Amino acid sequence: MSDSVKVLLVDDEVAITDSLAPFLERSGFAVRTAADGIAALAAAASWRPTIIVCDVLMPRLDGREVVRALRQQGDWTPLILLTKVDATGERSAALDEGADDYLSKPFDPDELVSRIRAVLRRSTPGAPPLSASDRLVAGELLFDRRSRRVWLAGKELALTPRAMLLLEYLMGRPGEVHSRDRLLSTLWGFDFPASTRAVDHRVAELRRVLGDDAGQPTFIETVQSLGYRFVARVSKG
Amino acid sequence: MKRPLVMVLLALAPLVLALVAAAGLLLGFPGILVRFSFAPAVLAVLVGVAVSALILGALMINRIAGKRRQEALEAGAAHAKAEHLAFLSRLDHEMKNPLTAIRAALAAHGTEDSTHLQVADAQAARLGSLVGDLRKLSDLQSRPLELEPVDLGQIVADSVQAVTAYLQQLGSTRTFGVHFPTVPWKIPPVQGDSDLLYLAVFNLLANAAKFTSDGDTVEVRAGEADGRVWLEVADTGLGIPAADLAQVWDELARATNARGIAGSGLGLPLVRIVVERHGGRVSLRSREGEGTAVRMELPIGRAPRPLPASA
Repeated sequence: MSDSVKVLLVDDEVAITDSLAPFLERSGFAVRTAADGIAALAAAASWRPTIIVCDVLMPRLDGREVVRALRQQGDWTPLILLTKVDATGERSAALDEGADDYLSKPFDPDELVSRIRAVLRRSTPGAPPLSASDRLVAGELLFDRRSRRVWLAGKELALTPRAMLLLEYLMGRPGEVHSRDRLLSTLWGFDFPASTRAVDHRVAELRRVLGDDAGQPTFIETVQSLGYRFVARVSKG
Repeated sequence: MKRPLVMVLLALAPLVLALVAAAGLLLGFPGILVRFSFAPAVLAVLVGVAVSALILGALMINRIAGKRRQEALEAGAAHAKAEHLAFLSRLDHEMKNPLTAIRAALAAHGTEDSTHLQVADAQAARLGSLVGDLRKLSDLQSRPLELEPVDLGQIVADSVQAVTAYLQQLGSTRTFGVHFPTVPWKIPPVQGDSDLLYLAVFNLLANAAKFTSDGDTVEVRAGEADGRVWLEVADTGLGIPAADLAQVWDELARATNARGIAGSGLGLPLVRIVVERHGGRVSLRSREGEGTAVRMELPIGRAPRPLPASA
């Protein structure tokens, strides 16, 4: 599969593109680079990459603007933003703009390769992912992402903001196992050692409010020693 | 700096007015005398009133000046804090690209055949995690708190469980003695971010475990006083040399007798930041060779006001 994967690497730092491109090639990808957002959009249109890896702070057009411009054109090429793990607000803002994943600099180059593979596994070429849909439906559960409200069997649920974010993330990526560490760094914006209790705590809240039985889950399953998985079938509302 | 001048002018204004009036009276009514006569009792009262007014005035001026000084100090401290945060952010920004490039270049070359390159790679990774840790601390200063009533007893129980499980993996044990008063009433909940408070308490317990040995006892005590809940974690560990005590709450500070023990020097700063963001304060007592007690105090959470019944 790797032979045909084309990675467009976008960063204005020559030191990064000069070192990361050969590494990605060594990992079996075909790689092209672009030095800013305008060049990235041009390369995306002419070369049709399988996936784009894009820095955020760049001259002319920054990474977030690249994501927005692509999505507005109906281009759903998977994209990983190289942005710093920041306060939660900014991260989820980036999620909303249609980036498929994030990695903060400095990162382990092998980690970038495994993220690229994970994003490609999850996405359907050319189609907007479930996580970009305004409404998510799983059986009697309805999540309206515009108004940030959730209903179960027609009754609106009261959730803490963090539990709401967690449910949104899980529903947007059903069937995948998410490790506690990844959930924590993506949704909480922190990954201190041993702080994954925060995730368990919010999953417990979601189960309580959803009336979900951990032993016989309708929605959220605990995958022993790995993490959590949203097990119900999710469709765009 | 205009303020003192205005005050002096204001203070002198009555005198100037009096001088003008006196000159006018002298010129206009040169021969006229006014004679007051008081009962001694009235005179005594008048003198008393005048002296009291003078003292009260002086006290008020002193208080206002003190408040100003305090405000200036606090503004200075806030400024220093903001500068410090800005510096951490610049450091992070300037280091992340070079570190990413170094790690990518080493990965592209491959480090399998060279121990030198393996050392370079491991050290670049170490620098990267240091930069990451500093950034996490500065993010903690600014991230929004998600407030809810938090039961510290539950937080401590969960932390004890997590630290015990971790120690078990290392084949090590500590006894955790938890003393939370239940009579005449339980420790009230604090209004706080449960995830962050857990992080702080977990760090205190992990620290205590780190600086004690197999079979030692770590005590966790709590109490309530003056609208605050305090929580103290005490150990019989290494203790901190007196000369290092002043720096324990600063990033990357490590006691001189802790050099042989793995650690980042970020545990106590993290605790301080979390507690201060909750309007609380931290303190620490320690004797080298005897042990350490770290205390956090948090304001008791007021129950959220009930929402007015809307029509």
